[in-house]
Amino acid sequence: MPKWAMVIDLDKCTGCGACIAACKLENNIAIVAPAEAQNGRVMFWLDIISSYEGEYPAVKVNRIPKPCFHCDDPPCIKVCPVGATYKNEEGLVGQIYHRCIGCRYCMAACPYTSKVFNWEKPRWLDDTYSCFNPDVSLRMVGVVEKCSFCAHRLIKIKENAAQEKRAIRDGEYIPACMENCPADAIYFGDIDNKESVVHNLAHNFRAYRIMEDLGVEPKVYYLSKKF
Amino acid sequence: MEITRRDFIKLLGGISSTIALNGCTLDDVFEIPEKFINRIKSGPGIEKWKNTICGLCPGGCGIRVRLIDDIPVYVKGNPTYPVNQGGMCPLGLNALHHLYHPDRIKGPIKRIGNPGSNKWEAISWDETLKFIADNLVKLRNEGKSHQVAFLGYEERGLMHQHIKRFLRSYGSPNYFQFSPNQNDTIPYLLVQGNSKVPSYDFLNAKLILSFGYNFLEGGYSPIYYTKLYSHHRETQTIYIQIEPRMSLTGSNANKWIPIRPGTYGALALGIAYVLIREELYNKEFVKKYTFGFDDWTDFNGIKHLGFKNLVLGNYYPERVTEITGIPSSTILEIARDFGNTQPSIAIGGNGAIDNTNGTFSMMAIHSLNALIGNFEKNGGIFSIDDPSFSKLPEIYEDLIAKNGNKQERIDKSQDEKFFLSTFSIESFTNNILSDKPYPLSMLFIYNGNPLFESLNHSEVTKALQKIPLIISFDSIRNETSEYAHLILPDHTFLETWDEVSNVPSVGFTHVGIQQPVIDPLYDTKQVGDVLINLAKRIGGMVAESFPFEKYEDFLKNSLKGIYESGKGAITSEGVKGLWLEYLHQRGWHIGRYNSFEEFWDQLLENGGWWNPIKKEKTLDKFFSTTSGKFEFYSTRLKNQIENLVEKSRGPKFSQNMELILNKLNITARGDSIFLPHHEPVPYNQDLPLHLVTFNVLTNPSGRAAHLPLMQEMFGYMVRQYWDSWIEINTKTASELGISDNSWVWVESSTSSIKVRAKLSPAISPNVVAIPFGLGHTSYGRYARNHGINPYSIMRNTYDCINGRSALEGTKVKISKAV
Repeated sequence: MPKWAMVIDLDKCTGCGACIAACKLENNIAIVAPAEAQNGRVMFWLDIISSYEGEYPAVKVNRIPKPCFHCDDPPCIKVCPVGATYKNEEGLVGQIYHRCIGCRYCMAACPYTSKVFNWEKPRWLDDTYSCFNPDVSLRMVGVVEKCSFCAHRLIKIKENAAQEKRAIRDGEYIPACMENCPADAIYFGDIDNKESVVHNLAHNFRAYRIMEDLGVEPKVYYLSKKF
Repeated sequence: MEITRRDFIKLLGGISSTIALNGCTLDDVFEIPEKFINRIKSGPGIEKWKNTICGLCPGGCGIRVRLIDDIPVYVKGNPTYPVNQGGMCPLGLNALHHLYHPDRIKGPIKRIGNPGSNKWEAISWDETLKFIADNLVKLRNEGKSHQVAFLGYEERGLMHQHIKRFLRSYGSPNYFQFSPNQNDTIPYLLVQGNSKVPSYDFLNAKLILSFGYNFLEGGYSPIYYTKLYSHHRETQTIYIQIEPRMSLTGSNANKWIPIRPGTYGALALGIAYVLIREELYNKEFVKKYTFGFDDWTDFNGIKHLGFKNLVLGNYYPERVTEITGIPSSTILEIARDFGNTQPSIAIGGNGAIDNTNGTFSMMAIHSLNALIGNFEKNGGIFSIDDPSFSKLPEIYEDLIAKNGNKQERIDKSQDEKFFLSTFSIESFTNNILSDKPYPLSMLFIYNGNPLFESLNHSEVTKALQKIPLIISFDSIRNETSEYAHLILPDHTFLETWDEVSNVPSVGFTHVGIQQPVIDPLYDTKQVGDVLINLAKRIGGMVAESFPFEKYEDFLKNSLKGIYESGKGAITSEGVKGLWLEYLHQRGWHIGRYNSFEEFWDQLLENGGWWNPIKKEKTLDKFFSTTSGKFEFYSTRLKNQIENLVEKSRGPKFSQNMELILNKLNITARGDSIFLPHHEPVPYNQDLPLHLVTFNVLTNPSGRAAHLPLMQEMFGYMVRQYWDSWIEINTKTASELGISDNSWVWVESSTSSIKVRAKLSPAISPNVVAIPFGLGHTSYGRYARNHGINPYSIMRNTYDCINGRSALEGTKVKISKAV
């Protein structure tokens, strides 16, 4: 059974924001109205955090793309009163929107604030027509959403692979953010497969994980010389 | 760097909820025609991909559009297209929002109310074209063909030629392009004799010294440079970025060096000082291929100052420190790095050129490349061969056209300014307002938005009101086209045929094909076709100059030349530059096509053609100056200025010279006028802070403000959505009692604006920065009334040689808004 993981090379990443846009469009994430957005209701499943280091003029800026970390021991699952969030055997942490009651316990529990609350009414095909990607369903108002590692792509790839009676190749299943990254800074694949790019990079001397001491075992690795 | 949960929590917080609701809610985000909806719901769901070229910025990235039942649903990068190699910027990903924008103009319209009154009436194409053609014929018959002007944007290649063809055969010299890159090649023209944008071999360079060139966010092709940048992280190339506000490029560079705005030229010369003094420059190259380095004597026996002595005498580190605010130790350090780490490149960009002294600053920066002999070699500067398009059909000019073309251009300044510019918005508007040298009767506006992007906003408004007939080709009404009398909507780039070839500064010859991925959604027409139609209606030799029925035929005809040349290859998988070079050396070529039709089909399937193999060029061919060398001492500038002096009538040559130099704002005297030198910017010294503007990747020049996602992402780095902000140094702000997210007044000598403050340590304490792109009063429902336009408070000043707006030439005062 593969275990999906992501590696982000911060030495290559420029912080251009293409991953944010690719994610929003791939997953039909609602664009929030201006006043709402300014009130913190903006929804980016993948966000970029900036922090400054040092004082003028020796300033360094760190820009870190932050998807859901798909922890191996996810705290969000433990607090969900209705079992709406779960981890499957391939390591993907999913969200069952129909089961979610919008209590937002999981948002509070997530150490990385990776989850977002949907304040927007969905616009289904009939009334308005914002559904561009037909592979991803829209979410109803009042549920918690999160990055799925573009799991809808995996379903198709699995079907194809099964039809051709073969295993999924390394680099076949990639999320939208990686697909469009102009700096080739994002890698994705099966971390248990010793041949895979992701496995090798995750064991690179530059590799680290954010807030590793919490023990939630995030599956997003960062590469950086600074650490 | 330690990241804690606190940092993450900060992301969640919103600003207090006292913000007034901006009438814009996001119902009906996009408008997709009814027939599509039915197809989406009940179609068989067949997936197809089509390749084309993105048209949202001039960067020329290859894109792949995903179609379900022939309806575009998703856009991603084309992995085999060599410019972007599958990479995309946030804007390009948003192409479909542009296609389905609810405010697109659905057919030709005519304004019936006052400008901005939003009263428009639909008319038919036939009626409109007949009306315009009748007017064009009438003007021609009256011998006023030159009173028609065409104001374009950044179109290049075939479209540029097409518009030129129309005006040439019709008889008007007035085809201009008003874009952020206008006139930026003038400094190159002065020193190397041609105005080709140089290509920089980033791939092989070891050190890149950038003077305010934000190539990862702006420039000619940001994604091309992002690819190179990420490749460089493996090869350990050093990036040094010099700019007062840390841009995206600055934050990714190895070193960010803040500089006082308007002093880039002085720094470049300070670096030249160290290179010369420590003999780090390429003596052989300087001796063989440059002119004016040492002192020299002309034919009349007059001694002239050389670059060397000018620099050694004036630009010693202590003085440069005083001018630029950069410590002399830093100047020494970067100069030594630059001289010792070979090959290295010095590039200048918007920060350096957008000021009153832009021409001289860029000349100084480019001189550094000459000092280390950086031309036509790996890791240096080279010129790219033009694609071998077929020759275009001949342009016929009848007597009226010949007369019209002989007339003076309408943007020619009446007082000797901007003598080298290809277009100057300042003199263009002034001439229209004063009817000099002649009144303007008709103006075509294609793609641009001069009203939003100019500093002389109120003059442009008046000029637009004065022109009797304005025809715009916009897809979405913007500030400028509110003043148009007729709007003939163009297709979006996803519905049209075009080519995007040789994007400036990209390091290989290439041609991308823009093909329609979908039939036009609305009753729109391609501008190329409209011009052909008008030419046919005018008849005579104008019609003869357009032997093809459609613009598409022009395109196909041009591509035949590339097929016949047998060079290069279709951009497809596995065809890498090195491999092509290998084949080429052994006399092979990779064409897998036997006829033009086959070539064409493959071209459409793969998205483009490219040829990474450069012709070997000798250096004397590279420089097309009178001396055939790189000219530190620009004879062209000398000749031009002396021409101006001779033309102006007056008692004495020397007095006239003084007069002209004063008009051109040149304070240098003697030989240093024609040498790269530092020209102090005439700032308003009463005000304490420099105002600079910058463009973000999501909204270059405000041209993506109509896209809701780009508006939401406008300030994702500082968590400011749908709104402008001003970046202030943390220390400066605390001295003024300004806190993060509070409102401030920004006051210049002309007017003031209110905007939210964002504190940052990554900006000079004496500089504030406002992003450009918001503050639209038109341009669709998502653009209107969000943020502010910093140009509205800027001084109306220009570089008097090349006519570019001095975007960093304003000083301001800021205060806390209560």
